[in-house]
Amino acid sequence: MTQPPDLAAFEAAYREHFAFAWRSLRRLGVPERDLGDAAQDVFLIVYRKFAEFDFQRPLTTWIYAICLRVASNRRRSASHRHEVLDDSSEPVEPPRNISAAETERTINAERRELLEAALDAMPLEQRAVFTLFELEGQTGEEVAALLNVPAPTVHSRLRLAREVFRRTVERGRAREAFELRRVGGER
Amino acid sequence: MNDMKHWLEESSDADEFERAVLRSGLDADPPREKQAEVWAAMVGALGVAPLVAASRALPAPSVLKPVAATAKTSGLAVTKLTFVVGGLVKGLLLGLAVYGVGAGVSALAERGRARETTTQVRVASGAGHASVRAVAPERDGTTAQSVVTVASAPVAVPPSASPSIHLNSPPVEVVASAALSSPQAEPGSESKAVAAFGDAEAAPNRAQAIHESQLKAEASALRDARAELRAGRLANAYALLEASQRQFSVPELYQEREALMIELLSRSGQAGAAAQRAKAFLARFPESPHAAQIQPLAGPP
Repeated sequence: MTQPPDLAAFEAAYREHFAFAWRSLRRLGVPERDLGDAAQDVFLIVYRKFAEFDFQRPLTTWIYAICLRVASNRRRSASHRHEVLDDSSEPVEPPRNISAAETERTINAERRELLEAALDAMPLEQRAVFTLFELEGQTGEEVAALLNVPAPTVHSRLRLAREVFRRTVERGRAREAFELRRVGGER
Repeated sequence: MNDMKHWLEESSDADEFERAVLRSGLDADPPREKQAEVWAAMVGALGVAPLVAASRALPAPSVLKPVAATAKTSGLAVTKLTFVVGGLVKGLLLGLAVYGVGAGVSALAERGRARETTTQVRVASGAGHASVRAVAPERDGTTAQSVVTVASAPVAVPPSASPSIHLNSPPVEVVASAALSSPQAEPGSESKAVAAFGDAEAAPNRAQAIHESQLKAEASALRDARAELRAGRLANAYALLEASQRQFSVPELYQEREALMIELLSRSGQAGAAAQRAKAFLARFPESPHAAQIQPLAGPP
């Protein structure tokens, strides 16, 4: 028999984990425009299963597992629809006579694109490890616990993900250096 | 192990450009308003609170508007029961008092001017809420339709319901909280209730009895909540008010309940939320007998 969820506990869990779920979904490749829906999907699942959850286990682990599943389903449906998950459809072209601040914004946007491209090139399980470790700042042990995999698996996935990241970033490095020289030369 | 160092650390294997690329992904937090937006959408997906909110705002049958139920995947078992009150029935459904599965289902239809009124009653197991969708009677005598979704599960008061979590919220959020606290649909608990809607002539008497019974139960619930409030047991008072809100979602004693809720907010130290609700109350019910009591809690105009 399904028990009614404890509302106070659920609401507290929602407040505490919403930002984490949002960041996770974003870093797992859910497009910006779909993040609200995806977060809703995650917490609807949490709500429905909340009364059955074993609170001896960390809630974060469970919520992240749901995020992974939701992100994975969304990636799959997007690929069936031949969608491009990247939000940016146009390459960012630095305009002429731009200020230093504008240059910095442009460069940051390009770096962000580069990161997205690198993450998109990773299989989801590598992406999860990479983002949790490098961006969420968790330790290897924490990532292992969160994903419920052995520590060597985390290590191996991280190594592979870093290789993908490095290859992708290398391509952007030359482009950024060229653009910086060009902007500098125009001043 | 150096390769398990975070690449954002300067002493790691990553170079400055790689770190810069990683840094660009650090800010992934949701915009401020998103948490509340997703919560509201989730409540909508569960298919209850917006309708309840709408039902509260129903000032008179003549201005009833359709309220679309947008349950995404509520999982609620719904039993539909349709009956037709035929002939020259004069009015629109005015009060539709419905009880849960255990109590059976009944409805009150008041005669109106429409030639034909079709009323559809949905009994939702475990929703913990009632909601109303209705269309005003057409003056030209065409069909009027009303849909009522009601809870069939007994109201459960969360034992740990704490005012500190819910009472910060503005009225709409409190409604949302109540919706989410509703019991889940239990597998196999679909309502088998078949309302004994006999002929249209029998409805008014039965409805009158139901109405009186509901009023008595609602008054009793509020009396209990008031007693808890006066005794300073704020969490209990809150739980009882919330339960009352779920059970009597088309309340007869809405003003009384809201007055208690405002007092509760004020006594629990949430003056801002109390003032917000007090202002809304006074704007809606300026002539209420509770207005004088609520006025000081509304703060400066």
